[in-house]
Amino acid sequence: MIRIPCPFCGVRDHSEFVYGSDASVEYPALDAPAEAWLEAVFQRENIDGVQFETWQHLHGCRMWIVVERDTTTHEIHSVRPAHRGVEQALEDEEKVRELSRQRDDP
Amino acid sequence: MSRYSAWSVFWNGLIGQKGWDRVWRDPEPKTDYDVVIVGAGLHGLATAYYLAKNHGVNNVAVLEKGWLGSGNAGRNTTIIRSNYMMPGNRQFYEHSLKLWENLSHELNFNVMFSQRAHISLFHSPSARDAAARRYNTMRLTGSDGELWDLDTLKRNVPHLNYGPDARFPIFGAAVQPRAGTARHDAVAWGYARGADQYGVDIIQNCEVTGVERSRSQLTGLQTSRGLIRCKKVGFAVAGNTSRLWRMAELGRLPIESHKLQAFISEPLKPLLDQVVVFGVGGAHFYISQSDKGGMIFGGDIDWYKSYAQRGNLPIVQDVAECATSILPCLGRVRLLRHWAGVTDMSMDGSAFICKTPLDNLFLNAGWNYGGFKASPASGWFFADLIANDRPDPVIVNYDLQRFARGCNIDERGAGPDPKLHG
Repeated sequence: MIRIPCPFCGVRDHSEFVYGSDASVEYPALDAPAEAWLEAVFQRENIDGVQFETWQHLHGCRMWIVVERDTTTHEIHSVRPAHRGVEQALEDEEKVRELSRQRDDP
Repeated sequence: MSRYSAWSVFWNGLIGQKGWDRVWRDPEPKTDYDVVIVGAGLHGLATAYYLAKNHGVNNVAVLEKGWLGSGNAGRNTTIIRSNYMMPGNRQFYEHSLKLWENLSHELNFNVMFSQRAHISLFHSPSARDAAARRYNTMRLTGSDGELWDLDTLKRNVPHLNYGPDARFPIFGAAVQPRAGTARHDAVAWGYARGADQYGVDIIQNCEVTGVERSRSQLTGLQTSRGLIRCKKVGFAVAGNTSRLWRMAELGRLPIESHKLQAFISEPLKPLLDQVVVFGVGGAHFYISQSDKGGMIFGGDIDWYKSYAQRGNLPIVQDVAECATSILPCLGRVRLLRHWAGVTDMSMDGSAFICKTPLDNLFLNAGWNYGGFKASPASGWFFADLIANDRPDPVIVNYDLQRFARGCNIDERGAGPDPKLHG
């Protein structure tokens, strides 16, 4: 069992999650040439080593996350929310908590 | 090298089994070959065999980083069938099944091909209609199949869960009587022995570590046993195709490496005469009984990308649930072994046997979760491609450009997501 530290729920079994896909894929603009879409939809790096990939905590908070994982050992190096805005909000919340801690505990 | 026969078995019984030769030589690699095949799995060995036999190309080496047949050749459930529906696939897999039917005679090696029938259960009227459409389509290209109603199915396969409380109530089955199983090791050994008799060098423990190339040609392979130069090269390393592709600096491929598990139980007395398969809702399961009595079965791939040749526990649970839901009598049977192989999952679930951006490099890859049944035809058409430098009409859409042409061969209609083609 792979144990994935969900940024929202803590460490959980990977059976709670579903694997999305390779997170390094960047989709082109809607009006980009067909070749650019062909690359994004069909061509893969297929790394044997550390890669970024998306997972969804389907049987938990249902949030999408980006996991940095080794495809040969299954070791997980980092996890962050997939959406930058959510990540920022989490960081902001942490800052607010930190400030309130400092205020309460001078 | 001696021919195997009933007489040779009898004679060796009399002389204490001392009359058997080596099955294949263990040669040192030469520095030059006409054709080098990377990967001594079933596809690579079959390719070498048909190169020599059909096309008279004998100056061939098959390089293997481990032992012959130690990859996916020994990590499958040995199911053979040709009930494919898409154009291209239909002709290809039917050709493969025809080769299987004569393979033991062809190779003078008993591959234990057993045409015990492949039974796909269906669980609703609409699934029956879909199966009828598939089997009618197959008949267009000379393949065959039958639809069984529930009574026929009960008569032939009595132990399935037909009860009123069945998790997956059974409605009937689509059956291909000519389908079956074979002994995976015997296929590898048979092709290796056959190729070796034609003069092919099978070089084990010889890992490709680098590729020497010019702008349009692959000129040589650096290996753990020295530099090997070659006029033509074929890659047949499903599971590790992307790694070799990167070594040759050829960029990206429409392939992801995933892993597929399979299981075998302790040996039982004869219980199941056929291959039984079902897929409904979230369940996917296939089972047969080996000649030694073990129940061989498997289900879905592990869902996440991996190069590790080991499986994970959620799928063990998944497959065990499928097994007991369809064959409740297996509830107290113990598992003997389980294993995982790394599979090339392609973007449409179909394979590649094609030319590449380099003039003298040819690719055999993308066998998804079903490469075993394909291996004779895969070798047959890959050898033809390498020898004649053009694809046979049957495999004309097994190329890397089919996505650009919009000619995806998506048997399941699952879309461009490799993990969904398991």
